[in-house]
Amino acid sequence: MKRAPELRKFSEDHHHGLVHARRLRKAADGDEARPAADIARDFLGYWQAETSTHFREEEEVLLPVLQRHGGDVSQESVIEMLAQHAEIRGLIMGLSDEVTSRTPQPETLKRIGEQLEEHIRLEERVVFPMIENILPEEGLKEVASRLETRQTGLGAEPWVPTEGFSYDPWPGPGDSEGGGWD
Amino acid sequence: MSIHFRQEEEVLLPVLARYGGELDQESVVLMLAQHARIRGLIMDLSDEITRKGVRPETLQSIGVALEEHIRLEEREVFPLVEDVLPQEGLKELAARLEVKEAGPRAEPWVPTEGLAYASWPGPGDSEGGGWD
Repeated sequence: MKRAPELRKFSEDHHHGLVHARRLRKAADGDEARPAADIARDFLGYWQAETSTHFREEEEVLLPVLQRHGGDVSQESVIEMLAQHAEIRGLIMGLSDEVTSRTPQPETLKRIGEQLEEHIRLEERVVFPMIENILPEEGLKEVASRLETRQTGLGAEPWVPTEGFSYDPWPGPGDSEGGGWD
Repeated sequence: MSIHFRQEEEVLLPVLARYGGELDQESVVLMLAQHARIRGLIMDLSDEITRKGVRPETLQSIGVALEEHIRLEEREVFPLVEDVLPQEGLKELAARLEVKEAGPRAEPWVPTEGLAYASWPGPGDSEGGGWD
């Protein structure tokens, strides 16, 4: 399937993700020449360098832009995608703890491999085609341009202008009882 | 605020998932959809500030959306999290939030020693081949 040029960056990431996912599954099954512990470390390196950012790009750029152009971000496929982000991040916490204590479990590698693959398929088969359908040319360009700004910018959301802002952190703790909400 | 949203997406919900919490229930779904909506409004406001043409409706929309969002979290999402997470899960949540605040890295519990990562040698399969 041909991806809109403005969204290709995501699909390239997905392609790399699938390669890593397969490697994790093979390592879990003992079919990789290198020890599972090495594969686990390599995967975490890849996660920190690429995937973590990729998830944020989807959450902080792609979906907000979709919403700006009238897309419904509470539709099932988008929700499934976001729920999978949380599941996968939870598994990364597990793997990180296991690598730190030098006991990576094949079961954890296998689950991450499977979930990542399922996640990428969902995005490539359902979410991205939907986005291409909804976003007009202008919206696709906006995604690309904000992704670029994001890569060069320092702030969490680098399109927020920086000049003339003042912000004093809150003077004390908030009402931790949640008072005033009800 | 930007950090707060990330803490929920990168710490709170993943820890909830680790303890078997359902992420596709209505209040969580709504919370995540609202994050996207508010971020979109922040894009609007940012563009307007840059062009020096802030619209009162944008301020109004952000105010309303933020208030609704905070009420949802306080009234529904956090009670749910407190209900699902055992004591150990709440402690894990607090510990990871602390680590996250201290660390500059994306997910600071990922160990740093001995990780090897060479960035991909070239562009991937940009046609998305192999998905179907």
